[in-house]
Amino acid sequence: MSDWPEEELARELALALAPVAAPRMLRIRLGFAPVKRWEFPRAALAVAAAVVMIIGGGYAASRTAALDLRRQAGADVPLRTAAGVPPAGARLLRCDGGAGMPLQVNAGKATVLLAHSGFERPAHTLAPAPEAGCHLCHSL
Amino acid sequence: MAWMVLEGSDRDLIEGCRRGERDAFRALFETYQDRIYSIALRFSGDQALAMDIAQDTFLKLFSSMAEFRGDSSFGTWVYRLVVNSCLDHKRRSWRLIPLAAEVLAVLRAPGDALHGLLHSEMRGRVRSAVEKLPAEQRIVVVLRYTEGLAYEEIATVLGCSMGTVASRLNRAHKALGRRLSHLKGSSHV
Repeated sequence: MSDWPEEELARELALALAPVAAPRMLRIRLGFAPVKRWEFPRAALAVAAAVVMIIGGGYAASRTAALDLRRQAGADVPLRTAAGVPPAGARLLRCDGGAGMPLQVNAGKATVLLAHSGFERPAHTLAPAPEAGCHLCHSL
Repeated sequence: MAWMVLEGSDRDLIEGCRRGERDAFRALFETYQDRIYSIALRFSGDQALAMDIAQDTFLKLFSSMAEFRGDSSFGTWVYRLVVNSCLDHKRRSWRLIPLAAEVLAVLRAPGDALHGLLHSEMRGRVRSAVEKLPAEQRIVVVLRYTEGLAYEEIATVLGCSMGTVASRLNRAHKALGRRLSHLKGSSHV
């Protein structure tokens, strides 16, 4: 004797073994549907290109500003020699928002920060007022 | 039976296939794909294997269309082809992907997830028990419960007597009842 009543077992079998729809792959295998080729995600490419352009553009803009800074505040900043402090020359070391000059201080070397983008007075405004940089050197 | 309803159009399709008309092959495929795949899947319990069986069946169907003499209905002939393909393929034991597919199907199912999970578990165990039946009992169970064929139709497809069909089905019921006895009552969850 079956442990399940015949009707109950039949109902469960009908539910468990119910027909299913054939997958699309069968159609493809038999040549009744084209193979779905992988399509390049153009939208993703556009987004990626936009992100690259934004990041790269921002970086290039900062570089441009730094180059302008160098052009405006570079070697043209006049220096007055302080007593016992021979200047080694004026040259910008940093170009990403700040400017500095390498100086010979006693026996050692020092870098004097002329300006920084965080200051209220940006570096490129030093060119019309060169004393600002000199005051920094003399204060050492 | 749905097969019988299609007999008239089947005749046109068969003639079209014999003439090599691609549209006829396509229409024949559209008509029988779900039934053939369902039998293959319920018999084998494996989606990949069911796909192979269905593909083989259609290839045999298309290539041997000229051999169909009309002694039996076209539907019965198609059933014979798929049954033979099922019996030709050995059952795979590796079932990781189908199980994963069942779990995913439950997760995707709307409504009460626990309720769905319990029903899915129940049906999975019933299917698993069916898969353990001997092939000659299993094919009878599949034709009976997946396709809803009468004993007489199953006997025609398998080329045996109705008594043999009844005997195999009876033995299958007993075996399934024993194997699923621990689930008795849980179907009403």
